[in-house]
Amino acid sequence: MLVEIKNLVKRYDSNIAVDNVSFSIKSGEIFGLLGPNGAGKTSIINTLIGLTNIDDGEIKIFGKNLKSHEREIKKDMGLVPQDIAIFHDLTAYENVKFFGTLYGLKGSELKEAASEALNFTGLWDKRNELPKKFSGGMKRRLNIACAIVHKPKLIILDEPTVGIDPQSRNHILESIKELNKMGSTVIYTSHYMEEIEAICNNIIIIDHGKVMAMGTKEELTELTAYEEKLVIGIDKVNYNIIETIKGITGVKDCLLDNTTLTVICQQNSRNMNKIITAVTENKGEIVSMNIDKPNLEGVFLTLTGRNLRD
Amino acid sequence: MVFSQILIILILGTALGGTFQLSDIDKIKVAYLENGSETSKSFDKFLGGPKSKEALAVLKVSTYEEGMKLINEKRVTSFIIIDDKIVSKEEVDIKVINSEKGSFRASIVQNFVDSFIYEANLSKALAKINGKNESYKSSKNIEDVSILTKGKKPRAIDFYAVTMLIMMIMYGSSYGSWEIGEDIFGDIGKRTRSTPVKSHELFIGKTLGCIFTLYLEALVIIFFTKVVYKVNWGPNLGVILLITFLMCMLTTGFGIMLTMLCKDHYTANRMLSILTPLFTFFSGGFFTTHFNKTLDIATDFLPNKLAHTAIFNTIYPTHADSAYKVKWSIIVIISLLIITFLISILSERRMSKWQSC
Repeated sequence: MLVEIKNLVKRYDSNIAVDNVSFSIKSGEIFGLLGPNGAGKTSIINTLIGLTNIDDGEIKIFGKNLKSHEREIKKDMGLVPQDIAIFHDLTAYENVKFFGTLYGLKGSELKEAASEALNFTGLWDKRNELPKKFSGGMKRRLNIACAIVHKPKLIILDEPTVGIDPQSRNHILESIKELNKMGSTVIYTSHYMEEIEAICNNIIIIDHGKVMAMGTKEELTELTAYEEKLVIGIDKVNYNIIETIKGITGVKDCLLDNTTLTVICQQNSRNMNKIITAVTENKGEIVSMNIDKPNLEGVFLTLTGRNLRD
Repeated sequence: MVFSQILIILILGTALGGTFQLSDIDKIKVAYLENGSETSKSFDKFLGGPKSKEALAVLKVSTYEEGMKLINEKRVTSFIIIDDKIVSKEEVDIKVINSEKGSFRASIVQNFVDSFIYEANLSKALAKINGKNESYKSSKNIEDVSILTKGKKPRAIDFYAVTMLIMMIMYGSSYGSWEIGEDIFGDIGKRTRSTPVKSHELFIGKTLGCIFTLYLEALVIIFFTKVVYKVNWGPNLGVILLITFLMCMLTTGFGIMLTMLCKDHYTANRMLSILTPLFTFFSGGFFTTHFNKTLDIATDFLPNKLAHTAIFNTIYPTHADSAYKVKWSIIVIISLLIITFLISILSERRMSKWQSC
C-alpha cells in the first residue's frame, strides 16, 4: 500500500474535523476523496502532508511512518493546494523553478524539470509572463506545474478545478490521467461528483469527518441500486395522480413538482406500464420520460441525506 | 518605497530649509548659581572669556528658587548650577536646567558647559599627576568646540535624510510581517510547508531575505543622498551603517512579532501602516516635538527615536555624552530586536504545525 491511514482523528478545539478515519491507497491509483464543503477532506489532506498534528491514529506513506520520516516522505509528494499558491511577481518559469529548488533540484536538472512541467501543463509558451496576466484556468495549471516539477510519486490535488472554465477543467482532468499513466499515484479531492466519477478508480465518501462509504464507483452505486427513479414530464396536471401512482405495487414514493413527476420504485418492479396508464387515465399528457440510473450523487444523497453542494 | 523616500527628503529638505538655518542670534540669557568653590571660580573665569561674553548674558542668582523662577517664566534659556552637593569630589559636575528641551540655544549653553567640564576634568587629572593645583585656563580648543556650529547642527536636508531613512526602515517592517505571515497563514505557505524544507529553515531564510532587502534599500538612500544631495552623514559612516543594519533587523523582527501576535498578516500590516507615521511623529521625525516628561521618556524608547539619537549623535557629537547616547541607543536597539525575535521564534515554533482547517 502506498498510503495507509488508520483511525485518524483530528480535532480543532471541540470540533472533530476527522473522526476515526481509516483507508488505504494502492500504488498507481487515482483515489477520489468526495464530500461537501466542510466534510473534512482538506483536514485529511493537511494531516497527510504534515501541515497539522494529528490527535490520534497513524499515517504511513511509502511504507514509512509520516511522523518519523516526514522530510523523506515529503520529497516524493507534490501538493496542489485548493487556493492558487504561486508568486504573482515571478514569471511562470521562475515560479516552477523556485518550487523545484525547495525539492532539492538545481542546475540543468532544475531547468529541464521546469520546462517539462510547463510543457506538460501547456504553459511553456507563457513561461516568461507574470501569472497576474493569466486567466483563472492558466493559474490553476501553473499551480499544478509547481507541484509536479520534481516528479513526485504521490500527487495530492485539493479541489484543483474550483472556479475555472470547462475547457481548462477538461485539460486538468486529462493531465491528471496522464500523470497517473506516467506512474504517479493521485489523491483527488472534489465536491464535483462528475469529476470523481470520470477519473477515479477508488472513491471514499466523507461527511462530517466520517467515512460514509468506500469502494469503486460500481461498488458505491450498488449501494443504492435497489431503487429506480422514473422522471416524467407531464402536462395538464391532476393532483389525484399522486395517490393513484402511490397505490401501484413497487412504488415507494411519488413527488409532483410543477410539471415534473418523480416516481421512486423498487428495482425490477416492472410497473412502468401501470404508471403510464395511471397518468393517462388521470388526463395527464406525457411530454417526456426518463429513468435515472444510480450515480454518486444519488449515493451521497442516500448516505447523507443531503446534496454534495449543500 | 526607496524613490518616494528620496523624493520626500528632497521636498522636505528644500521646503523647510529656512527653519533649520542659523540666524544671527542675540546673546543667550543664562541664570547662574555658584557657591564660591574652586570650580565656581574656574567657571567664572571661563564665563569671563571673550567667546563666552559674546554668546552668553549671565545673570547671577543667589538661590536655587530664584533661578528656577526665571526658568519657569522662560526669562532665561538655561540655569547653570554649581553647588557642593552636586559637585563630586573626583569630577567637576555642573547641573544645567533648560527652559526648552532640545532647543538650539540650550544646546549652545550645554556646549559651553561641556567644554568647561572637559577642560576642568583634564586640569584635575593633570593636577593629580603633577601634584599641582591646576585651574581652568582658556584654550583655543575650548573656543572651537563650544562656538562652532557649522557641521555641528543638521541642515533640513541632513535632518530629513536621517528621519526619512528611519521611517522607510520602519515601513520595511511590513516585509517581515507579510513574508512570514504568508508562510504561516497564507496560501503559498501551505505549499512551501508541504515541501521537505523545514519550517525553521524557511523562517530563517525569509527573515534574512527581508533584512537584507531592507538594508539594501537603506544603503541606496544613504549613498544617493550622500552623493546627490550632499547630505552630511558624518565621518563615522561605518557606525551609521551598523545602526542602520540593526534597525533593519529590529523592524523586520517587529513586523514578524506583530503578525504572530495578531495571528493575521493583513491586520498586522494595517497596524504597521498606522504605527509607522505615528512613531515617526512622536520621535520628532517630521519636526521636533516635546511633550510632558513622562511621554518624553516613553518616546525615547520608540525605535525611530533610538535610531535618531544614535545617528544624530554619531554625526554631530557636540555633547559630552554623545558617545554614551550612541552606545546606549545601540544597546537598547539590540535588546529590543532580541526581544522581538524571541517572541517571534517562540510563536513560530508554537504555530509551526499549521492549525487552520
